[in-house]
Amino acid sequence: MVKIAFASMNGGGLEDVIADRFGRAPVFTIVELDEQGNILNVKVIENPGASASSGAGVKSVQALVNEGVDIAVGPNFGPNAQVILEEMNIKAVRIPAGTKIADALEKVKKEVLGL
Amino acid sequence: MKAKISVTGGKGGTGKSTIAVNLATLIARERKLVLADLDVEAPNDHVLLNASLENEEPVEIMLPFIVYPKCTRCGVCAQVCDTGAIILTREKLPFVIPRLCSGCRACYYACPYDAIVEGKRIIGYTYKTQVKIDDTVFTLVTGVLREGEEHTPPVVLAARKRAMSLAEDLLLVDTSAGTANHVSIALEDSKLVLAVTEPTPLGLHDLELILELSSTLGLESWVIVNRSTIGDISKVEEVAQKYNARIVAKIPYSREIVESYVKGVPIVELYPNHPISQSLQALAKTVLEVI
Repeated sequence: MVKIAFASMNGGGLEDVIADRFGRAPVFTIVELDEQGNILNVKVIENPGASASSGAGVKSVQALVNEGVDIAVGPNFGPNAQVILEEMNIKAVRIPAGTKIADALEKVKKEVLGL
Repeated sequence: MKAKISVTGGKGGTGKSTIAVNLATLIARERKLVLADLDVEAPNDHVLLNASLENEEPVEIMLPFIVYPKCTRCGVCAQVCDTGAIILTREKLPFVIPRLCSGCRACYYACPYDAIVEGKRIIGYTYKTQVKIDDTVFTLVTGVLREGEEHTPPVVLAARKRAMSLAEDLLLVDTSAGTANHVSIALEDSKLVLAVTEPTPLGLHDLELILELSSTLGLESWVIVNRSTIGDISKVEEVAQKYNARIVAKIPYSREIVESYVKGVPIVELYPNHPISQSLQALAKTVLEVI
């Protein structure tokens, strides 16, 4: 089982697209997959980093740690987020902003998970 | 300290430091003066004065250390941390990110289990230099934020404190651009605020912001229009009037001031008879009359 969080531009979900920034993305779409890559669950959480005055990246990572996320997908990651993701054992994957979440999921399945 | 005067302006690059070092040079001929460069992210008064930074003192802030055997993983420290400097791992253990920590001690006080002890971290330095220009002598205090650090206020406070402890008579403060927290800390308790601006849309926009800040702090402001010949000055006059701030000097655009930059000698020393030097002399005189 693996949990993947996608920084999402609008309301989240598989039809939404990757946000412009990771730490300031409004929401995260969290997709849970089984060993074969079948979707077990899709949920959307608010990003506490979106409205943070400082340390947005860290607050975002905290939300993902709390959800038990294994892979974080965003267009790019700030220096704080990058270091903390690595420290927290969450793999950071870069996929361009505007990419449909469903397409981004396929890319992660193929290129990162080898499914 | 008898009085504090501050040079600020909102917009970057309007000539705050140029005005500050020239005023310092002129005022120091009459009175005992300390010049404090509180633009800690990019201090450059020493560059304009061709002086070196000496007598270094570190600026330290508190850094929390987690005593893990005492930690119950309650997460209160991360909850109270305003800067996001504490993250909880999957195992709910707090993990401190030093660069984000402002040293506020909230976690230290909030921890119910005394599992946080006080450490220290150096985030910047202050310096004290004796500046000597011909027979004119004054003290320059400079605050410098360490490269990569995010929290400017502790360094501004430390440099301000050092400058105040050295100032027996007058203190002249040079602030950074903008109207952020560290600018209000630099302006606090000023008898007079000199807002340096230029007649450009951005200069005008930021002048309004800094005059608003100054009036919120209950301080008296004067306006200095630098490069007064490059734009429409009537709009600056309107904004100044709105805030009851009188325009005390208009400094034309000139080549000689660039020359004084390059040589590291204030223009009032390099060309005492230049029109710019004359208007600065008049300004220094007016400032001294009021103080």
